[in-house]
Amino acid sequence: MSICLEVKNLSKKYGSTIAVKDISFTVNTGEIFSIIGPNGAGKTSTIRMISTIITPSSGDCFIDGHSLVKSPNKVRENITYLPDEAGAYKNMTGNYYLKFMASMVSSEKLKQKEYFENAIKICKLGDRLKDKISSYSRGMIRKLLISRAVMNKPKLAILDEATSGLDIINALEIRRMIKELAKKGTSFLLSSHNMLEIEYLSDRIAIINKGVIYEIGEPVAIKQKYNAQNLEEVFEKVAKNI
Amino acid sequence: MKFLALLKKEVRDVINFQLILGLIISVIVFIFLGGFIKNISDTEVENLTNLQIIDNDKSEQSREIIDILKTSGFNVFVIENIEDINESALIFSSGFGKNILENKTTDIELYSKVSSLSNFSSVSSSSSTNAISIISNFYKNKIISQDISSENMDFFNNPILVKEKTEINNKVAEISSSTIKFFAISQTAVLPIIIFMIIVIASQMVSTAIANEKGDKTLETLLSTPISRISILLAKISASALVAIVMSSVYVVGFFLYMTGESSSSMDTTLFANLGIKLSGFDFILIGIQLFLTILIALSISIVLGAFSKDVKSAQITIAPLMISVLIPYILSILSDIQTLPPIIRFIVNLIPFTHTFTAGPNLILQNNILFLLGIAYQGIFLIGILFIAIKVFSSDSIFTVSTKSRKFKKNISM
Repeated sequence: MSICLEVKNLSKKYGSTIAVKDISFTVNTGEIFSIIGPNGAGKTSTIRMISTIITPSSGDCFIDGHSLVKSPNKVRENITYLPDEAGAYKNMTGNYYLKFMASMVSSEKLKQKEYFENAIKICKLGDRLKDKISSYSRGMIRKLLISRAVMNKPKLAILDEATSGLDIINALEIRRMIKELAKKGTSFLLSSHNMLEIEYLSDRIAIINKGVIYEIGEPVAIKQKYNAQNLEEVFEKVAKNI
Repeated sequence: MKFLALLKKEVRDVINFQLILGLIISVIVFIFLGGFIKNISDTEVENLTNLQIIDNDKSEQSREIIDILKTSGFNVFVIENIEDINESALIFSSGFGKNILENKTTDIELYSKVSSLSNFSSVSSSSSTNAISIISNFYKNKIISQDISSENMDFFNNPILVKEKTEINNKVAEISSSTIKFFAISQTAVLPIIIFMIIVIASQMVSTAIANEKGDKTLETLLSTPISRISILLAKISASALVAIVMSSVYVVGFFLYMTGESSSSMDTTLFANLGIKLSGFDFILIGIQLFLTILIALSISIVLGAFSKDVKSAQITIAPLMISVLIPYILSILSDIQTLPPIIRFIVNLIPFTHTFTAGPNLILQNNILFLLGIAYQGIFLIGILFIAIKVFSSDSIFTVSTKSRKFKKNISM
């Protein structure tokens, strides 16, 4: 299996505070890879660096061979990013928003049309796409945003707390959507507090705390290693040993 | 007790960092302006007792009048030429004394030079008007002491006939300075209010929009798409420029219509046009250009400041420095002639780019074309500078890592 994302000794400092310390991992093509950890562990900083939102203090990462440090624009062509609790432009309709975001991803009209149609199929919002986003529920906005994030079948989709704040049905639909898209070849880098969701979705996970990755592996293997029933127990044991 | 707990909570909500900072800034602004205005007032009050006189008659009567004015508290300065007049002077023409001796109404010329259109500047010319009143009363009292007869009745009623001449833009007209000032001020009085309103509305609009984009994380999403950050910034600034064009056009047209209405009043506008104090079509275009630059500067500053706002609430306080830098020249331009302030203060005030917008109208009317053009040039340079800063902010992490939160300024590190 080919490597989609390679993170090499990535670090981030804010003044004297070290948010991420020398982390390394890889994500394979079509793999769902999750970063789990408590609040302030360094998840968002890691994701923001890989998403080219903030620059690393040291280290680098490569997406499809493109260096984040040297050619961030090339990296942006291969990723999409969905921030935690993100909103959309409330004065736009769902259709307009998807068309607008498609035009941000590609300047070719045909591709824009293709991406737009993909998004319509994925979000399953039907006629509600004609309505202003200000009238959408939180679940509808999240579906719209996830469809936006995968409309162009990126090499890597980075989703921060993909289902946070959603009800059971909406969260389930989104998890299924992620699984289906991964089967079709899109790699996912997820971040979440929800261990059960991560266990259900992820092919591999990384446990991060205080900016350091303590464990990387398949959920089943990690559970066995720590003799734990679920990832929550694993996380508790890892945290105690730190 | 429940009410008290609720009240305590509400007060804690209302009394926040923004409010305290706003109050501190307001006090500083008032102290600053108070100092300015006291300085201006002291100078003008001093001017109120200064009186320039040109005595072309050099008679016993004219010298008597000068002595009376001195004893009335005026600091009389007898000068020889019109070129020596600072703001206004009384001119006793030859024959003054002869007419007085013959109990004939005599002329005194009130010659004024208009070099400033500020409200306070009109105070100094009133010393001449006060002096005329004293001269008139002196002769009336003199006649009363001599018994009023039918021969001197006309002289008693009008001992002095004031002939006013006003010089503006090196042109002289037989018209009072107050009439000229009224017309000139009427042309520019509305402009500062318009400028102030445009800047406040546009800045709040842009900074709130940016803060919203940050709060909704739509900006974060946009910055992760394959578009350069400079393109995103340029799009924002271009959109702002379009808004600036529309706003300045609307306001200039509105201002023009206001002026058309003003011009259709009873005033003889041909005379004012001849004196060069009527804004021409070209002047309106220049004002439009300067308004456009001003709005663009305000919007660019708002984009930079808005980028440091965490939410809409904090966006309001982040643009406080911008509001203050508009407020100071706005108030000063109404009360005083900025170019006559003490050098250091004038330098500081001129560093504020908006000062040049507030002084644009008077500069055009008083044909201070170099000052006007220097103002536009400075604003152009300032705009380039602020655009450079905006590019730096948008190209760095600081747009996401430094922010003003509603309760306190803090480094926002979401790990």
